[in-house]
Amino acid sequence: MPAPPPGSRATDERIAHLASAARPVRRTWSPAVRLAVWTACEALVVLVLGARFGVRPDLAAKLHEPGFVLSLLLLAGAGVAAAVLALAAAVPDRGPARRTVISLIGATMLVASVAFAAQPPGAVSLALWLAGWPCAARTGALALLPAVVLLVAIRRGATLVPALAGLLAGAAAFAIAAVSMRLVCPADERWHLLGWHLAPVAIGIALSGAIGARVLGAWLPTRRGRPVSGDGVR
Amino acid sequence: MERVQAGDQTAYRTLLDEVTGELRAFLARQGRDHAETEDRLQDVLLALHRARHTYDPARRFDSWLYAIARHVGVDAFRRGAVRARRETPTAPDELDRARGAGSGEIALDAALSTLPAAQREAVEMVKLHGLDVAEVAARTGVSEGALRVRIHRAYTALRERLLGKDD
Repeated sequence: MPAPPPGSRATDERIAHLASAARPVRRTWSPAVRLAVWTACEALVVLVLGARFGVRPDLAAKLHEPGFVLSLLLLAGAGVAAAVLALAAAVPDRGPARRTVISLIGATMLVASVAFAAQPPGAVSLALWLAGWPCAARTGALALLPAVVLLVAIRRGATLVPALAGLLAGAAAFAIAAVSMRLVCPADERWHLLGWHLAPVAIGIALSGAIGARVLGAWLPTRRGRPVSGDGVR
Repeated sequence: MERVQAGDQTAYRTLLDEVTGELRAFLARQGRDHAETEDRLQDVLLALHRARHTYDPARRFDSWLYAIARHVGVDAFRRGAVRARRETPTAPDELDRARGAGSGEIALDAALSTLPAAQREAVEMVKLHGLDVAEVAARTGVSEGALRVRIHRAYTALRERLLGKDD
């Protein structure tokens, strides 16, 4: 009889321990169901905060501008695509490739940059430009809850790509927030849009990626952190 | 796996027994030695346990399992390599030098014996027996960070004892 591999006894003990720790678990909802829940949450946030902030007075006219509508559709599409990928990333064999995530986020930022940079420069006064800061705060407010909901949904799964999943969650929430802000804010000035609409999106995505890298991989045995399962097995 | 998700311990034991051989072979093909293969295998099994609620019976079990195995194996290997790069330039070389210097092993044993018990245990398990830092941390009930600090202090003390303070 061949000798067992070195360390296999410890593995046998691990197996016995895990088997004895088996408890019924609630299966993760399918990505489609989770996307529906997130979309409902996102819609609620946009409606509530949109009503509070008020829509831009020239919205009806702006919606007849093809360039304006196209940029909004592209941003919204990118946001939904990011949400789909983020939720898929919560399942081990559905995680997106790094190049897919980078391409999507890069394309989103490029579309927004081109759309915003195409606007007239607007105010040249620094004081006037600085007065636009509430738009950054509103962008953050619109994105906060949807981003948190996505991060929580991913954390309830078991992502193998924590940083990418975090980036995707941020991209989804902030892209939709950027769309909402274009419906709210009447300023169509290049530097206002780049500084107070686009920069918060970039910062938010980066921050979400950092949070994802820190918290979404805590379930992995090879990472530091606390287990997410409540079965007492680390 | 559906029965596992329902909490069936017997089915879970059977499943783990069945996948262990395949996973061991899979990890061994990545060029690990036996001890590290077993460490990684246990990591994969633990990851499988923690992620079992994410398995969708409508999809292939193998894809789900090997996505975890590939990631945990690569992740652990990368972290191990980073750790080795951090630690190799200092203490191990000096320990090897001490070991190779005639009565070095005796000197090392003597130096080890002067360390506080916790430090001696950490050095022996990680560096002399080649165990994974995470595993030793789990066994000794301290965080990985605290274990690394403990090992660093032990190295400093050993260096002073074996090579002199002026080295």
